[in-house]
Amino acid sequence: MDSVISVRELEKRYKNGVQALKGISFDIRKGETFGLLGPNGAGKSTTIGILTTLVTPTSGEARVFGFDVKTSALDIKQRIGVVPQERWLDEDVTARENLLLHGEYYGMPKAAAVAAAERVLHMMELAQRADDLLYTYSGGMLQRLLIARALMHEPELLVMDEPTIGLDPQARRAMWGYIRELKSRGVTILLTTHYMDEADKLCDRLAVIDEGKLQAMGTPAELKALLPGATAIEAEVSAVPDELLKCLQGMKGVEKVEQRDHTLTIFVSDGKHILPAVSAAIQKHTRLSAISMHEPTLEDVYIQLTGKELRE
Amino acid sequence: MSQFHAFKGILHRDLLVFWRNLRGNSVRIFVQPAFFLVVFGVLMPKLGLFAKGYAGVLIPGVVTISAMTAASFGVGALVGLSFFRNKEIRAHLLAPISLELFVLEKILYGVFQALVSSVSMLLVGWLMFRNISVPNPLWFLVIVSLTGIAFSSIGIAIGSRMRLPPVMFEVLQLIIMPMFFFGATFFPLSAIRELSPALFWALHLLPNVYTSEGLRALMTPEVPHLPLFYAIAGLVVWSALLFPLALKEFRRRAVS
Repeated sequence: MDSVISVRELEKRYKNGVQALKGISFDIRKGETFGLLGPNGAGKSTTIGILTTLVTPTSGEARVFGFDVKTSALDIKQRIGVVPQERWLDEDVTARENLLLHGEYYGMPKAAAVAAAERVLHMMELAQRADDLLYTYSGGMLQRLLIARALMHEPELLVMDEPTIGLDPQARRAMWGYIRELKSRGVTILLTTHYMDEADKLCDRLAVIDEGKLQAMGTPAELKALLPGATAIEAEVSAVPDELLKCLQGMKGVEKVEQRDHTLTIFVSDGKHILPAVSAAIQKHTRLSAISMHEPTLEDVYIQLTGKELRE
Repeated sequence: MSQFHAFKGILHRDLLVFWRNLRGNSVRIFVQPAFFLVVFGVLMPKLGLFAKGYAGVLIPGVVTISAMTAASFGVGALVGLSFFRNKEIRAHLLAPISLELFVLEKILYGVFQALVSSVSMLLVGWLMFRNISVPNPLWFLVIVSLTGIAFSSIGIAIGSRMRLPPVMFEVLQLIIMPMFFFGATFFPLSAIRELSPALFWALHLLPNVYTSEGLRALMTPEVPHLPLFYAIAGLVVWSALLFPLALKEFRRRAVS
């Protein structure tokens, strides 16, 4: 079985009438890190809720490891680790006890749970504070503990809902390191995020959802290629003769040329391949003092797909 | 079945936290009912305001109060607050356990709290009056356990249904308070019959009437009481009605 998660025409309408999902379909392959992107209220958390069996779908099908979320919740829960968006932790016991109890819930033998707790506490750099109560923890530490807990029973699939939300830049980078390490160990990861740089760096494939629908899906590079003419080549030149403008505008792959004083901005579809030709054309007509290329970011694609208005 | 690991683990967690918070819980468990015993069982009879043997009426009633409040508030608050604050209950729901078994665990924890409270109350009563005995401890356990099931079900239902903690506590008080006073706790049920037959029959609708009367049948058989079998049957019926209600409300809250 290649697909760890398989979602078909999934719909969810809540009792209050809100239709959070309007028929989304996707597959996540074994060992893949898959990102769900979308604004607030797009349907990300509903999707995660369905896959972790806490939300029941209205129609469609969702399978995790081949088990139907509607009929085999226990089989799914046993195999997945969940890092929820809210910090669902047990504040009445210490961090280590949170982990050991979690091991108990999953039927781990005592010795194995103790060893696993030690391992994940070290991995998440919490060993020094393992026996403290959680009210003494910072936000970043609580977030690391959530991940540590999800890893206790060595799940084959890790579902992370906004794993880096509210973390400072250092903690975010550390979190990326942990996620990469898990990925290198072959854990399949499904994560949601608001941060485009994060999605770009961590995910093998991404799906952008908005208003309950899948807007686009693919590798980060494939998604960026969705914006034609979004790569900009900027050239500083000593003069801009009309022949140069005509020559550039006539080149295959050039979408638009803008001029401001001695700066030319050339919008192209396939930056890497066209750059040498653009550079040569400029040098044929004038002196080129500097040239640089700006590829579209995932954020540009995201804004293009989901619109610019604020979402709350 | 693997979900029994989760059941056992979550029960272990609840008992661990109960033990750690014993000092905080002990005020609720011991002090309030002890004050009742002092005022109504010692002070009032000594002042000649209450009949001499009133302690015999009172002790089963106070044991009832402590069992029902321990189960309803102990479990109701745990469920309601944890849901509201998105804490351990949400994490436990991610564990491999069905909702039915999860609710059963909370009820078992409620039964445990009812047993601890009522046995502690017996101890306090014994220290004060000495002449307390429970000739048949098995029936005592049965009555208190059934009370625990009925009242932790009430706690779970209200803790799940009321989303805001202050409202939850208010509604719990509103439901428990009349039972606290009218559940044959401070008087034997039969005494009401002469006063008002309508009230006598209306009081049959309160689940804790069967606890008070059942405990009287066991502990102070000289005080008029309902037959033991009748009391146990009443508690079984109430438990059978309230458990599905608890499950229904809990499911509504836990799964969207």
